[in-house]
Amino acid sequence: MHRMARQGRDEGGLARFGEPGMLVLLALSDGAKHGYAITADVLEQTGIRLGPGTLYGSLSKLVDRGLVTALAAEERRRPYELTEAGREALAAQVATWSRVVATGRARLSIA
Amino acid sequence: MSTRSLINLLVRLFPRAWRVEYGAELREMLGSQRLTLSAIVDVVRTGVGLRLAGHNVAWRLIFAAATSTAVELFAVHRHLTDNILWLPDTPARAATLALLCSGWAPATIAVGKNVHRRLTRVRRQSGSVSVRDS
Repeated sequence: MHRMARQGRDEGGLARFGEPGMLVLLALSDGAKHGYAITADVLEQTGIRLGPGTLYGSLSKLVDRGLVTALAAEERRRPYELTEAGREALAAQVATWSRVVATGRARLSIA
Repeated sequence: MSTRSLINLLVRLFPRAWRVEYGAELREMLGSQRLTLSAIVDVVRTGVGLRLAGHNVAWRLIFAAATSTAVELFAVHRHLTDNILWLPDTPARAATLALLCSGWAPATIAVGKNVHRRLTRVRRQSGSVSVRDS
């Protein structure tokens, strides 16, 4: 059953491609990282530079929603890691956008 | 103004509870990189946004209460009613009653959304709701 597209965000707070929350989840998908490492990973993998306010605003929302959890601080930096719910949310977003990308590639004849 | 003072000022834009949890990390990150204009704008935008979001429900309730009080005083002053609520049996009384109640609809919706969000979070944390795609 297909769900109707909505302009706003879903209950997980993730709806738009390029949504900072999704980029943070993507950065954490291969292991725990602290704030600076998340920014560096997002920049390296997607070319998008997350501002410091956007990064910590997203992290706090993801923690509130139970998608990410904070680990014990290492020196003055605190690493964050995905929860099971966060992994599910990211997998759902990736599945949705994989279909969008596949359709775009096919219709634009991109190899 | 020194960079340290500017960073402290920027972090203070965030709600107190948020600062307790994330303020030190944000301060550390801002101090470890060049403080560009875009970084400052980004922090200001996020901090003010979180502050407004945190007060959304409370401000709506305050606005609704203030509106109702003002309309009630006006209605009593103009001898439209002697009571808190009244029958809308004339156009003036109907309009005033509608105005009295108008602030409560958005306030009630905001409270309902807030309760729903909190319940969903609790249910998700207890594992009874899975995260859905958009």
